[in-house]
Parts: sequence; structure tokens; C-alpha cells
Amino acid sequence: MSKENENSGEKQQITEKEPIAAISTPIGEGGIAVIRVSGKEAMEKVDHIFEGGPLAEQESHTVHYGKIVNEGGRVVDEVMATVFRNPRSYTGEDTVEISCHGGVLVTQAVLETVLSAGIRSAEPGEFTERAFLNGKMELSQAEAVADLIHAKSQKAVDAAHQQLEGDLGEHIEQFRQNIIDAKAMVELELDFIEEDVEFADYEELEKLLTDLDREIEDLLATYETGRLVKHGVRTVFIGQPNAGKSTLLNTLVGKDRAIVTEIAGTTRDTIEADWSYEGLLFQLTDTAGIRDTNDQIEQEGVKRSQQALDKADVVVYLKDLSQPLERKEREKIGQYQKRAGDTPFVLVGTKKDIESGDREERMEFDLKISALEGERIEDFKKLLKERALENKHYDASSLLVTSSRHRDALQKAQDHVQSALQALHDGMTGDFLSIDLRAALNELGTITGEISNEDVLDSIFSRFCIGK
Amino acid sequence: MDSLYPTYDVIVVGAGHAGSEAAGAAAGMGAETLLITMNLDAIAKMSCNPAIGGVAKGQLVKEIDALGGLMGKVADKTGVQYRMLNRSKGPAMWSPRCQSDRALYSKKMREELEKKEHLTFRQDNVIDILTNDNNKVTGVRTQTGQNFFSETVILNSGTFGNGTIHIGEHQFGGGRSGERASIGVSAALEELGFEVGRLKTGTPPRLDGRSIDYSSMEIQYGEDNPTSFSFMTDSLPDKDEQLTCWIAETDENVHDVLRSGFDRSPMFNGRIKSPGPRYCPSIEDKINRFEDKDSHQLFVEPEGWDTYETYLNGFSTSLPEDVQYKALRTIKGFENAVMLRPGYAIEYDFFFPYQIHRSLETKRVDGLFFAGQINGTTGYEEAACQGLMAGINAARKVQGERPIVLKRSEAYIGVLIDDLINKGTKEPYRMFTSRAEHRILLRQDNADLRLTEIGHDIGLASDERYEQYKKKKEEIDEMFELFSEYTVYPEKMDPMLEDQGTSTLDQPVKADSLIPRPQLTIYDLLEADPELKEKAHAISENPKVLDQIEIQTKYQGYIEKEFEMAREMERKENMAIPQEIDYHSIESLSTEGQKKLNRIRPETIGQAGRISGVSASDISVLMIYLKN
Repeated sequence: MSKENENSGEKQQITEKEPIAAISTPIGEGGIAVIRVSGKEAMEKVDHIFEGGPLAEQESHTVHYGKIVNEGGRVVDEVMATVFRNPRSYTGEDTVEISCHGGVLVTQAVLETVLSAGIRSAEPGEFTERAFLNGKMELSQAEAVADLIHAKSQKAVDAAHQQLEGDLGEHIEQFRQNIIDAKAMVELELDFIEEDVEFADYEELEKLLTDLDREIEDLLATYETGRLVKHGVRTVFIGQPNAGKSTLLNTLVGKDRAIVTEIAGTTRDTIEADWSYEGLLFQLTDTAGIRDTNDQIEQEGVKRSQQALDKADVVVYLKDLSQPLERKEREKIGQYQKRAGDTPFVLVGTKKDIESGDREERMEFDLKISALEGERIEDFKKLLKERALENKHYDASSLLVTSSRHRDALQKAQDHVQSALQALHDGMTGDFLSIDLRAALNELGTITGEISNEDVLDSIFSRFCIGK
Repeated sequence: MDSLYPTYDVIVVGAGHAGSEAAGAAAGMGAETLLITMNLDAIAKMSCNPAIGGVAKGQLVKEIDALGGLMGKVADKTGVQYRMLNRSKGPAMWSPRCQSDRALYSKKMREELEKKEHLTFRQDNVIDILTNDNNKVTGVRTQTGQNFFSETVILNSGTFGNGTIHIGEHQFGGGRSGERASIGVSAALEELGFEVGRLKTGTPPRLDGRSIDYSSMEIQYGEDNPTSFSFMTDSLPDKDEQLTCWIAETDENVHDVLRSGFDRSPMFNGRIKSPGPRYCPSIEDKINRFEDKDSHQLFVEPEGWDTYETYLNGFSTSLPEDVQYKALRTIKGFENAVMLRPGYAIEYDFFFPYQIHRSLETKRVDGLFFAGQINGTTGYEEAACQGLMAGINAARKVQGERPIVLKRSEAYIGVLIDDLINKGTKEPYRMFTSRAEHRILLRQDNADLRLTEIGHDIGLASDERYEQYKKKKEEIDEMFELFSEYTVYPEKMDPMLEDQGTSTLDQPVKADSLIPRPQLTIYDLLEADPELKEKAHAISENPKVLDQIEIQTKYQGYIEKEFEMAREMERKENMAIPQEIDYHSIESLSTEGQKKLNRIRPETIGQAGRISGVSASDISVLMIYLKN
């Protein structure tokens, strides 16, 4: 059915497609970056720009030192190239993995040289899609792998592993089984009205649905944590200019050797950095100093700071202790606190080393620090983690919903379960309850697999004496 | 090879509930049709309980009728008691059922068939299926040594294909009590490469009604002003003119007697190996599986207007006759019961339904169709609707037209055929409403609105039926308009609303906005506002028209939700899969998925998704594969 099949000769098992390439390691996060090239004639193509080959004549699973040379004949980088032959590779196709030096610019230059050799840039997830199509993994695994690739910290890696091993699947299968049982209770008196069986005990049904509602709720509640684990805790630093925000941020990331990435175009107002602490990732945002201003550019900066504030998981307000606390700033802090709502709000005094006295006595600080000297910085880290996770289910061994697709499906399933409960309270007959229950099953089915009407009948036949 | 007889368009083999509809439909559509049956005096015979309809089955009968089939019409003419089941539930659950006069049903069906212009009858036993070198069917050969040639053949062998009857340790060949089995066709089909299986079903003893003491039994009446099966039937007899049934009960003593024969039961000693229906177990099976139940209900049903023969529903058994008899006489009211025919179990051949297309034509032999129990179903209604579709599609094939395939969101018939082909069946397949995901759309009240247009288009539903349907449809549209535009005022409505225990109006509203209130019927509105009533009656006096306004307005939210889900499904139904795909070459499919897909060769992604053993991730693989 496809051209590839006809051309692939003896390698019929694997459908080799046009070669694709992409940087397979997180940008700027390590000493080494890997560029993966996969597809038809991957080795031959790479040989065009690789000095030290030919890779096309090398065995699978061998590593070769060489140089990436661009069109102009200039050496772009010295690299190690690993050859994986069809079908013994991640995608199942012929694959070359080029390990180059890890800087953003070098990596980008190597990739561009690779692309100049008639290899196209891979779409997001395309390697995984090919692996999946070539029978290298199941769909649910493929989804988890995609998450794994994006996992930025150890906790996220754990959550992705858990999904691979099917913990989530088992949970959802249990929900599904409960709904099937509820549906069986309902269907029994619809399809078997002529039978001599005892019909649905509505109290039992109500209990089953109420329990189910709560259990889905519990699983859904892990999503917030799951999201924090996967994407990081959005932590926003605010405060007046020179309150020590950048210093604190640099102290945190510098010490933990994380990379500060300046987001192009936003340098005027916010600086962002990723920082990992005890397996939990924080996305730190340093906002522009907030003060009332008529300067248009600064106003724009302030506006963005406030947007960042609205999306924050934790808000940290820094107050320079060397400066007196004026009434205006105190009011401002109150406003921010109010605006943060349920979002944890941490009030930190900075420059404790040069504290100016007792003028701020009416302010209650969560913590006073001095970033420059590292004084009480460890306390700050602990406090930040504690506040980020307050009211969240965060237990290293617990199950987390991390995919928004799963969250949406669970959410919809819960809505349907609730509407079935409502229908039950309103005295609607089973045929209407059944519509809601089936809709709930369909939603769960989008995560684990299809619902079969047969399951409901099986449940009925195994539990009730049917047949006159 | 020669034949004394002309070449037919369609030969229908077997004249049970499937065969009768098949012959009626094919001939009704103008195809020259020959109906061959082993016994011309046993057309459309009810082998088991003397009843038509019931939950989900009643809906099937109304669909058969809406398309122009015969079952509804004949059931209306031969009922002895009529009831609407599930009346306390939503409208989709309402299911008409009747007790029938067994002998009269058979007679009336033959009468209906004899009215068909293009239909010829033949009493004979088919022993071979004739095919040519291109694997196309050319006709049949019979036991009398005759060849009958045709373009298409529809096989409806019921329980006759290698039928074996079991009563205790006795077993003998037979297709039904008192009739011989049909030997030969199964072997011919296996020769052609079809995969055959065995199923089992059973039936209870028949008694002389005069020997039963009804005094301690609960009596069960029919209904006044019953709903007919056929959209063309004007009226049915009231309760007083109907027969009654009774409800009896077994007790532990009866169970003990039955248990004493378990060691001689072909069910328990391994002589019967074929699976029987879980929802229609024998009495010994019920006692065995549900030990803690100390009583089971039995329904005592008359077999007709002018016979004392009585059917003991719920007492299906294949225990030795002495055990049956003794247990029977232990039941309260049956102390002196006279048994006319003992209960028995029957094993018969069926052909795994993955071997047929959705048109019911076999994949293996061009022009050969299967309908009824041969496909693994049970029930008169299930058989009849397949016969109807096979008859329609055989005639369509001869006419060079595309087959009619009903969708799951369109008819229970569509659900049944789709289930059979994609899910197969491990036990005799019976229709349940829970098998239909769009149950609320597939109501008994709207079968004509769903299907009559199709029936008329293909030349089966009569012009008279079509005109009646069109009129009803137009009246419904007008009536909807009236209710959505007509304003009702608090002065007229409030007294009625108070009476019905629902809140009064604080301003005038459109009439249709009151219908969703659970306390109200559309008739309450008409009574409260004579002008509205007059206008409504000017549009139509047909209560079925008002019923449609009421149902469709009251349950609008649910109906729309279902339509939405049906549309969702439709998208997948419209994703065609090329027939030449080699599923084994798609590595990512699960091994079971490959096997099932290769065997069933689904026509659409939607169909593929319903095949048991094909996982959601298989479907994703297929979709990605097709996309590339």
C-alpha cells in the first residue's frame, strides 16, 4: 500500500521513511548534546558531512570519532557518531546518533549542517511515532515516552515511568469496572423486566456512584501536582526594583548549576530560569520591578509582570530590609496578597545583613534572608517547596495524572457520573441514567480502550439468575 | 446439469421466521423466488414459546414492519394477549409483546406469502449447494434428486442443520419436536470451506391446560387498547377479548426432584458440549447456578384460541422424562398435570458469522446468503429481521443494486448484524436494548419514521404504507410548529398546572415550553386550552402524532445528546478501509488484532473498532497507517 514497502527489499518488517533529524537532548542542559538522524539511508546521508566514516560501512551499535564539516569545508565540531542498524534502533529504522558539544550555538550549527545533507527536520514526536508504527512500542507507551522526553526532573521521570507500567491504566480500569457494574444494575431492570429477578437497589447504586465520583475526584486532584511535577512550579518573584530578586534567583540557579535562559523579546520585563530542588522543578520568573510609572515601556513591563503573577503557582514578594517600608508599599503588598487568592504567597525580607532597623515592625515576614552571603538560603528553599506543595498530594510513591488529555477525559467522565447521580435524585428511570453512564464509559475508553456493551451483559449474567 | 424448473432469481431454503421474511421480501421486490421447505404445513412455526416481541424484540418487529416485512402484520392477526412492557420507563424502553396462537400464526404467515405474486413454494429437503468454478452459487440440489437453479440462495436452516434432540440419556436426530433434521447442507458448506460450530437451545414441556389447577396462581391479563406491531393495523382486541396467562412457582421440593436427575442430565454429564444461551437457561441450570434461590417463577401460557395445549415458560429442561414428569407434578397446581410433549434440548450447526458481509451475503460464495440461527442468533424476531435483510439484499443483488446496510444508530437490525459480524457470538445471540448504544433513538414508536422511507425506496414497503408515513410526518412537522408558536396564558394554564402539582406561570409562554415538565402530558395542555386543542385537531386527530411531539420535546436533551454521539460515531463509520490490506504486514498491530482484522476484513474504521480483540491502540495504528 505504500511505496516504502516496495522499496525496502528484504527489510520488509520495517517501513523506512525519508530521513529526519532533531536535537534529542534538552537544549543547553548538558556538556553533550545528541542529534538523532533516522530513516532511509541515514548513514549514507550523514557521510556527506561526516569526516571519519564512512558510517555506511559500519556495524550496528558501533561508535566512531569524526568531524562534522559544512559546505564551506569548515569543521563545525568534533563528534562521536553511533550507528544503529534497522531494526535494532529506537525507531526501528537505520539511525545515526551524533554526540556533539553541548552549547546552544554549536548544537544548532551541527543540526543545520546535518539538515543540509538532504535530511529534513523532525516534527515533534516523530521519532516516537515511527517507533510506534514499526512496532517498537504500544500507543500508551509512546505517549509516556513523549512525556519522558519532556520530563525535566526526577519526579517527572518517576511519573512517566509509572504510566508506562500501567498504574494509571489499572486505576482507570477499576473506575470503568465500577461503572460497568452500575450500568449492569440499571440495565437489568430494563432488559429483563419480565424476569424474576430483584431489581436495582437504588441506595446501593447511589453509593456506588457517589464513591466513584469521589475516587475520580481524588485522582483528578493529583493532576495539579502532576502538572507541577511535569512542567515545574511557576514561581514568580516580585518586589520593588533593587529588592534583590535577580540576586536571589542567581544564587538559587547558580548554586544548583541550572542554566539561565534569557527569553528573547522579554528581557525588558521578565527573566526566567529553571531550577531543580529535591526532585521538584521550579520555573523561576524574575519580574520587572513593580512601581507606578508613566513610562510606556515600563508600564508594558509591569503589565507582563502581572500576567506572570496570575499564572503563578507560588508568589514570592521580596522586600529590601535596608529600605524603610512605606505605607504605599505596604498597601501594595496587601493588594498582591489579595490578587494571589489561593496561590501561596511568600513574603521575604532581603538584605538582612544591612537591615535598617525596626521600621517594618508591623509587617510579618515569612523569612528574612541575605542572598549575598547565602544566609538562610537553605531555609528559603525548604519554605518554597513546602509552600508550593501545600494542599497538594505530593508523595513520591503516589500516582499522579500528568497528561492534560487524561485529565480532560477523567473530568468529563466525572461530569457524566455526577449527572447520572443527579438523574437518580430526580427520579429519572434507568434508561436515562444509562445514557450518562455510557458517556462516562466512553470517556474512560479514550484512555484505556473501547467499551463493549457485551461487558455489561456479562456482568448481568454472572450476577443474576436470568431466564424464565 | 438440468432442471425441470425455471431458473429463479432467489431460492430461499427453509421457511421458518427468517425464511418467510426472506421469501416475502425478495418476491415483494419483484424477484422470482422459490421457497423450499421440508414441510409446507409448518411455515413460520413457533418452535418454542408462543409469543412475539418483548424488550428489544418488540422494537425489532416494528422495524421489520416499517420496512415492509410480514411479522408485525401476522402477529397482530394472531395474538391472544397483548401487553406493552416497560411502560413505567422512558419511551425508548416501551416494548410491545404478545402471546400468539401458534397454529394460527403459521397459517396466517402462509396466507401472506401466498399473496406474493413472484413466489413459488416447494416441499423438499435441500442436500447440496451448487456453485460454479468462480465460487458463485448457481442453485441447490434436493433429496428428491432435483436441481433448482438461481442467481442467489438464502439459507435459513434454523435448528435443522444436523439437529440432535436430547431428553435425558436419549438422543436422536431431529430439527424440532416431531420433525426430522436436515443432513447434507452443513457438509456441503464445509466442503466449500465454511467454518462450522454447534450451539444448543432448549424448550419446556407442553401440557394439557385442563389438567392444571389455576386456583393458587397469580393471573396475568392483557391490556386495553393495545399497541399494534404493524403501523398498518387499525386496532386490536381489548383486554376482555384476550386470553390470560398465569404465574406459578417452583419450590425446594421441586428442586430436589430435579436434582435427583442431574447425574442423568445431558447438560451435566457432558453429552451436550455446545454452549446454550445464558439468558434462557434450563430449569436445572438455574437451580445449579443459583443454589440459594429457593423458588423460580413459571409462566403458564395458552398456545391458542382453540386448543388446550399450554406452554410452561421457565421450565425448559432436557432431564430424563421421568424426572421432568415427577418434578412437574410436584409443582403446586400441577399435581395432576398431563404432559403432551416433554421438554428437550437441541444441538444444531451454525456458521461463525465472521464469514458473512453486512449484507448477509457470505464472503466465500458469491450470491449465497445466510439468515437466522445459522448465523448464531436465537429468537423469532432476530431470525425474521435477518431473513428480511437477506431477502432484500438478494433481490438487490439480482437487480444490480448496492446492498442495504442499516446503521447502528438507525435500527436494532443494524446493531444485530454489526454485532454478529464483528463480535461473533459464543452463545445464541439475543437482542437486548443495552446492545444498542443509541437506544433512545431506536424507539418502537418511531420505527416508521426511521425506516419506511428506505423500505419504500427499495420497492418493498407499499405505496399505501408510504403515504400513511408521509402524512404522519407532515402532521408531526405542522404540530411542532403549532406548539412552538402558540402562546399559552396563565389564566388558562394555572388551574391545570396547580392540579398537576407543578409551578404556575408568571407570564405567557410558548406551549412547547411546558411539555418537558415531568408532571404534564401534552393532553393536559390540550384540555386546559380548548383553542389549542382545536388547532391541534385541525392538524391531526392521530394520537401517534401528538405522542411524537410529546416524546421528542420531553426528551429533547437526551435525544440530542445521542444524536451527537451517533454523529461522532458516523465519522469513524465514514473512514473506509481498503479491502486489500494485508494486516499481517502492519507490525505494530497486536497479534490478535492482526488475526481478527484479517479474518473479518472490516469495511470502516468504526467497524474495526467494534471487533472483539482489536484494541484501541490497534485502531490508532490503523488510522496512522491509513493516513500515511
